[in-house]
Amino acid sequence: MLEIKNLTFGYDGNVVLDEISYTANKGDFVSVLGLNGAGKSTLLKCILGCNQKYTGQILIDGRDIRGLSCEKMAEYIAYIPQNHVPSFSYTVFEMVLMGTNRMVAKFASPTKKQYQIAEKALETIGITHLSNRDYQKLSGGERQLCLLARAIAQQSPILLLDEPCTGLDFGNQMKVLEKLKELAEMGLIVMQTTHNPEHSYLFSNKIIAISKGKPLFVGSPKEIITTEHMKRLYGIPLRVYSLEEDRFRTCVPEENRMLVSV
Amino acid sequence: MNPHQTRDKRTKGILWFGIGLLFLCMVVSLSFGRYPISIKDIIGYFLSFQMDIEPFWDAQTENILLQVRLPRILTSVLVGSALAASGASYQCIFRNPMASPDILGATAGASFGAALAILCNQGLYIITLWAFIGSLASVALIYLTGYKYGKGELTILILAGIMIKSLFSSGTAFLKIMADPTDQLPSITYWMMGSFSGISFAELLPVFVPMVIGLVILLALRWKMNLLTLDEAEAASMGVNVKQIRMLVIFAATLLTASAVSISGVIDWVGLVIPHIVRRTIGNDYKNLLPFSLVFGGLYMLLVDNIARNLMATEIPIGILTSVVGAPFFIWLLLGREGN
Repeated sequence: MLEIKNLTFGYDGNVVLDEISYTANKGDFVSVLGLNGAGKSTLLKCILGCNQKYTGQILIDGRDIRGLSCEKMAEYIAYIPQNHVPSFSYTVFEMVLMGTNRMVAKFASPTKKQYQIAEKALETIGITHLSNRDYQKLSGGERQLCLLARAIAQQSPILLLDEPCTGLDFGNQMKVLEKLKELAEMGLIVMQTTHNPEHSYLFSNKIIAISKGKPLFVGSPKEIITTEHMKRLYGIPLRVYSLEEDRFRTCVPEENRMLVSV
Repeated sequence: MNPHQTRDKRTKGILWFGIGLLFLCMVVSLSFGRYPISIKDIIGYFLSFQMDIEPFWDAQTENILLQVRLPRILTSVLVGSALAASGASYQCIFRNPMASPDILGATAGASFGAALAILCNQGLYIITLWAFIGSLASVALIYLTGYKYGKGELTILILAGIMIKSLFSSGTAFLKIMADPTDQLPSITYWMMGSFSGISFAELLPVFVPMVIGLVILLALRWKMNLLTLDEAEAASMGVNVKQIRMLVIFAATLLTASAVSISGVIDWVGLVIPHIVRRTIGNDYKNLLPFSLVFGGLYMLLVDNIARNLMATEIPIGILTSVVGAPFFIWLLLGREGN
């Protein structure tokens, strides 16, 4: 269980996160919505322990995680940063194997056990055939799947993702989100930031919408992805339409010329 | 079988082949020189340590083997390994495949420190210590200018390296003016060119220990070094204490550079060329990259030193030879990057 209690964070006198409280349980797939600069990434960084100077509490299974060493944090949380390419090119298998780092002693290399964990993670995501491929030369979608396998190899109960679908084509976006949903169903807590309310409706079971560092709405997708709420969140005239007996909801801007003026 | 397993097996095979080749070359190198010694004599002599063999070689052979050739060959292999390993490690710290002890100015810093110690008539232990301080200072400067402010960009890194190099070499030039022209000046000058000639076990010993310490640290951390090349927050989220491991790697790599420079002077390019060839052929995984760099760095230096001492009647300073090989290679690398 991930509990955030009255989380407040800021730097240089600017408040970035203001009194955020939230609880996610095992099996939840949480989408964090919000405008650019609303504090979504900052929220992830606070949970990750990169931003330590927050007030309030972040608890995992009742334990305050403030000040925990990064070795300890890695046992609780795996993280997938926004799409980027490392300076050296590793094979997919080498990348995934790095995920097992928390099980490898400081002055050691991975053993057979970690190799098996990495192989298993590749299987879970279904990319064993990419093992020897060069990570730098993969397509954006394959890269994201590789990072997902790496996060699985870390075997941590919480998975944080910073806009995992940015830069992916439609098919790969669906593939990645489908996998994330599966992982949540396997018992992980998955939390992603996203700019796409439609994705969050289709795949996640909980939504937080943040505006100016404050939680604007918190609830289930059915409660949050509505015309009223989306209008307030994004500040443009729009309508949310329901499709296929409410399996899917889509945001459509109400008047095209408004897009230009906003 | 998983595809990565076949790859791992092949890699292991090549490594053992390299180690075998290195030993073979060491034995063969013992026979080369002004005074040729047959392989049979060499093998017989070394077996006689373990077995009862009636010496069929003369005392002079024994003397040359033990006092002249063996220390020289061991030193050249160690220095080659140390420079290649420290190059590979600096590349990890700076997240940049173009980093190496000479480009970063670490060797220039070490030269300055060592020249300072020679000027003060110090022994090899103190020379090594000052070389270490000098190269640590230059790496720290590079880290601040090229990495912290330049965000690790290649051009800024290379420019910062040029700046620091020129800073330290003008410092060394100044020390040369101060040096006693009959005694200290030739010793600084000759030593700066880089050479393995006249090295004895007594000279090897003071740098042997720090070299082994540096190599053991790097070998122990080699797999973790992969994670250092990732984004900092990303590595931390996987449970790496980035600051601590980075400091350890910098310490070990600088120790290796300084030890190499204090025994053999400035030998450029090895730290760049060898890790690069390994990256191109074996891959970037430090678990393999480091051992391969050790073996092939040693092998490369041994071969170049054989050329240095056998090609002409007078010995060619080895630093000249490695630059002749290394500088064109570097240009080729830069061109290759543009092509990508």
